[in-house]
Amino acid sequence: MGNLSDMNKPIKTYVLGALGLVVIVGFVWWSISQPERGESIRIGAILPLTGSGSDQGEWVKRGLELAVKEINVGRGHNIELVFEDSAGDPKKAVTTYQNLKSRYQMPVVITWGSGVGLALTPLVNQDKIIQMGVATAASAYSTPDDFTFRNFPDSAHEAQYIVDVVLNKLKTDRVAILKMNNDYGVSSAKGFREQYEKQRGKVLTEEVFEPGTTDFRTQLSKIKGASPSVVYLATYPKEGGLLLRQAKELGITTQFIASVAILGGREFFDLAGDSAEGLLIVTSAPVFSDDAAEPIRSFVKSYEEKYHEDLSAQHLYVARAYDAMKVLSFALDQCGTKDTDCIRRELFDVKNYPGVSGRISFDRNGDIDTTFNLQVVRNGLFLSYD
Amino acid sequence: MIAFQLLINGLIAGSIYALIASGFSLIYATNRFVHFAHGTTVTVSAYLLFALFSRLSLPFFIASILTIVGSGFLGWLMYVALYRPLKQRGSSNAILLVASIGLMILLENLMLLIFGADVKTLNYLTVSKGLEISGAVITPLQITIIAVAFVLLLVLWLLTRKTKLGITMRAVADNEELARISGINTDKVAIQSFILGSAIAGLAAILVALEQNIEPVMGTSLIVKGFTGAVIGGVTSLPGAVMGSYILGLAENYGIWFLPSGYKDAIAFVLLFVFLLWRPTGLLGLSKGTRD
Repeated sequence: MGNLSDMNKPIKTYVLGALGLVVIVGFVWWSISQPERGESIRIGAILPLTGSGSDQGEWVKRGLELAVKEINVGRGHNIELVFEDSAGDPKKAVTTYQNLKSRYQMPVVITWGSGVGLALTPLVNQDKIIQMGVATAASAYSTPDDFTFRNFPDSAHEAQYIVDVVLNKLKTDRVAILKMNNDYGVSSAKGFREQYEKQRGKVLTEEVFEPGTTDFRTQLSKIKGASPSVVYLATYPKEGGLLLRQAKELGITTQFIASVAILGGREFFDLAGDSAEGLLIVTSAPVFSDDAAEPIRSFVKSYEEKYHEDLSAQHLYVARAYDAMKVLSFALDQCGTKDTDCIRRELFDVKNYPGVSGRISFDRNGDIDTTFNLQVVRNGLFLSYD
Repeated sequence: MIAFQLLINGLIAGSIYALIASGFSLIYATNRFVHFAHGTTVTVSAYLLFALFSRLSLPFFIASILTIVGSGFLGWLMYVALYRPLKQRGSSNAILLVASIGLMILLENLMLLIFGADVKTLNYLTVSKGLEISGAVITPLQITIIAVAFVLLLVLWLLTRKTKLGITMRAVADNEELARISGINTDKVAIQSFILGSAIAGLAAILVALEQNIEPVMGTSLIVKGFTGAVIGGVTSLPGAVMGSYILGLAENYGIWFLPSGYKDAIAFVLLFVFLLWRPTGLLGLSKGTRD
């Protein structure tokens, strides 16, 4: 008998352990399956909060927070933002998305970046979750009648504008391309090249560099050898700043014209210094100033009050995110539920919404139509170019 | 004209690779394991320089000296705290390699934690158009980088040929077993080469920080290129490692003259594979006396 009770001892431990486990798992499952408190709607935001896109991530976060603060004032339902870090990496964004989806019943996910947006597109369509891109330029994101939207101009639209500038304002047909080898750079350069070659002859040379490159001398020397009058630049701010510095060191005085993403970080001016002088930038940002028309004026005031930072062309990401959140909340209000088919219909119906980043209307691809303007860097500031 | 500019570009890139490869190969020759964290020694040293110069506002010269001393100390610490205990337990080279990769990730993330992910700049030199030498452009800093690499090569060559320290190092590199039997303290030699090799990484860090700025992941790409250069030239031979680095720098630059620029890294790795497959000892490496 004594032996038997000795033998029972470990078995008892196992049974108790197993019971404990069942209780814990059961409790976790129960707490997850509980309806969420109140009427709050959770919206995921997958942004680069670390890594080299972290300035843009921070700006987008601020734009969303400003909008949500205004939306939630005196309202029955609350919108609650859940921020997650993608570090700008599509692979990480996919994991983060799956994680968010399993934790919350979110009708909408807001994402930053072309690579991230493209990686999540098949997933959100399968899960019927609305994806709203706030810094998504790649043309491949343009997919009809699905769950993906963006409050950011398609790089093909931007390319059309840049080609116009090159041919009609700068009046040259000696053009070279320098692009970053990622979804954004490749897509932007392709758009530019197609538009340009359709309207005028060949591009002299097209050079490419990897994200994170620190030595651009070979590419720049090849471009110098082709002696273009204009270099079209599709890059992120970190690479862009260093590249312009090396171009100056190599004595390249050719006019550079950059697509929008170069605006995405404070570090751009740290790295480029006065090598950025004279750089042309195409942006869809309005002029942010205290004497601008409404709703821009109130937006500028509330941003500068809260964050003690003057708004420049670089802050178009704040404005894009702010408007995206406002439009989403409008659609959520119309539907009153988390029914994403309804939200999607409402978004397609948005026409001429007066946002701080411009008027917003979604076409059937979930894209917006924007007006662009040309700015130039003078004394470390972005000024309007005429 | 473009050919000459590419020659200069190749020499600049090659000099940076050589500064990494020479320290790496010095450590490899006496220790016989791949110390991948050597690139991160450069990263840590660069951040040390940033902290001393930009945050504590020390004069640049003093900050540079302290950086080199600090990187030598880091080399000593890495060997004494991590590699020596592992070696004493009879760990194989594969384990030491894995440990070095772990160390690399640890240090990179430590820098990320302390200094953040954004790029740091020293802003010590003003950016201006470089000097023009028969159509090619080169900045004074780049001339300094090339000059430092050449002088360093000369000093290292003299050190290994003419001094007792260098001769014992070569003896250990040639045959550790035999060196130990002859009464050489191989552990001491290993420490010395870690200190010296890491101090060279500190020197490289100063130049790289000025030329390419500072970020947490900078060490990985540096060690990959430095390692490739060392393998091409012969990883056990200092002059070989330096020569291999210049070959790599020039091959990358001239290769892209003909190929699309996206192939730049591909050129480096094709060279690496070619040498690993057909001439693993490199151009000047020891083919005899290496231990298994």
